[in-house]
Amino acid sequence: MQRYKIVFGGAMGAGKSQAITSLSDIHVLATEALNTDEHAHSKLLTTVGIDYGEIALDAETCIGLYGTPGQDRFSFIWPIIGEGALGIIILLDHSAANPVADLDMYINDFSKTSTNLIIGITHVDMKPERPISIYRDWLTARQLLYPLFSIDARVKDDVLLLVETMIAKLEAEDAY
Amino acid sequence: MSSTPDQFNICIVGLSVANMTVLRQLCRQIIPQQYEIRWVNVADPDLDFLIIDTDFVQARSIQNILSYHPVPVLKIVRYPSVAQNICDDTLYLPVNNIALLSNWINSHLFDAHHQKKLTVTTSERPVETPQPAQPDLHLFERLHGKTLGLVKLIDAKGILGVADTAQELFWPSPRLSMARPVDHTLGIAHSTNRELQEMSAQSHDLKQWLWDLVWHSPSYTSLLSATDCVQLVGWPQPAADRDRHDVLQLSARLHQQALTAQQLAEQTQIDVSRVQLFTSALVASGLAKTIPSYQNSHPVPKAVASEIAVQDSKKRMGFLSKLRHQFGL
Repeated sequence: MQRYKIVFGGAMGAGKSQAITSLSDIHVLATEALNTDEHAHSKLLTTVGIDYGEIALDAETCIGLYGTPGQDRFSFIWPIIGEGALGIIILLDHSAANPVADLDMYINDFSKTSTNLIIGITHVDMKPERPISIYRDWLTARQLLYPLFSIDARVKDDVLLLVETMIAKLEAEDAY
Repeated sequence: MSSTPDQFNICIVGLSVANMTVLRQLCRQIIPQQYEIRWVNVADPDLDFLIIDTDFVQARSIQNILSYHPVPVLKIVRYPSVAQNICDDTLYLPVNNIALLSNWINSHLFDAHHQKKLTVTTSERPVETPQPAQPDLHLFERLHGKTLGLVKLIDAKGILGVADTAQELFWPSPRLSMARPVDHTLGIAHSTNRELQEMSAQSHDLKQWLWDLVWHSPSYTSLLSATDCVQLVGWPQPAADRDRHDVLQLSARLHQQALTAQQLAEQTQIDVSRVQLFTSALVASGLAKTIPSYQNSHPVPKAVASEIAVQDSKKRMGFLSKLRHQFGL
């Protein structure tokens, strides 16, 4: 059996668990606990371990979908989960207090593990006056180029856009 | 783009969308068809004619521009009680008698333009052959300057929306379909908060919106040539339709290295004119820039890879193909 891995990392409340649920063939194994960090996000439950979903391509090929816990006190586990992944999808909550600081933290951590990073910005409608250019400007200032899209993590097609981007990047790498 | 003898660069400042549309139509009606009209910003160095609400004439920025770049100025007053009248270079709306406006334009604009034309000819510049109107990359460069503040995007069919160039946000007109293509009549003009309030409440990312606009406007295909080398600086977000596959393929290739539309077309087997529209949309939206071709190093041929690497690559390509199939991508 060939096993591959796609990792969903990023901020607490950005929609990682929802994104995995929208793709997974199996019931997602979640390790949620009562959220005691209301300063970071107001949601009731949060992931404290790993979310796990699966896509079975055929009898010999399977993709594990791994969601990392968002809180930075769990950052020690991010590189362990990200190791060997086809790509890492970083989800950021646009309505968070300082999403650019979140971008900085997750890019710094996950870029050590993978070069195939895709960024999804969620909850854009909750903060329409905040421009998307803040993320582009941050990346440009550091001469970084990662795909960056506004998405709704509850919408399967939006999550598939991130997955297809990851595939397209891998195919382009293979072509050279 | 510099002004040519067969072209008028006109700017309208401070008027409502409705009045602006009417005046643009009247100008087009009055100015003979052999003259192309470009709708430009007031700061355009090739400005030929300014139409402006009287409330804005004394603004310091306008007076500064007119002091070093004097052009015919038609002031507009919105008092219906004295309609049909032009007095002291001031037009009172609404325009019910086009002859008065036509006379004013003939006596002011054509005299000024005739002098300009003489200057151009006597300076022994070659007389340019009239060209079909071409889309203008300079227009987009100005939009990315972040210094224009609030501007509206307009074309012959009306207003497309209002952009905040500093914040890179765009509010489309509520009457606008996102897919509506535009042509060379696309222009920008200063806007106001009042106009902004008439737009859709939902804001969009300006660069992404410009990319969508040009990507759906085939007349912009030749904005860049097929041999212009393009370097990606941000990925465009494709719509959830049949375009997605091509857009991601092309973006992923450009992510690897700077390429020309011709090279991209060869690598992806996508029609070169479609790729040219893609690169034109990227550069117009500020998601890519053109670079000199000598900075474009060709990729290392795959043939030098080891046998093991080739096998691994084949296995991965097979897997990616299965993954695409699974999700119908």
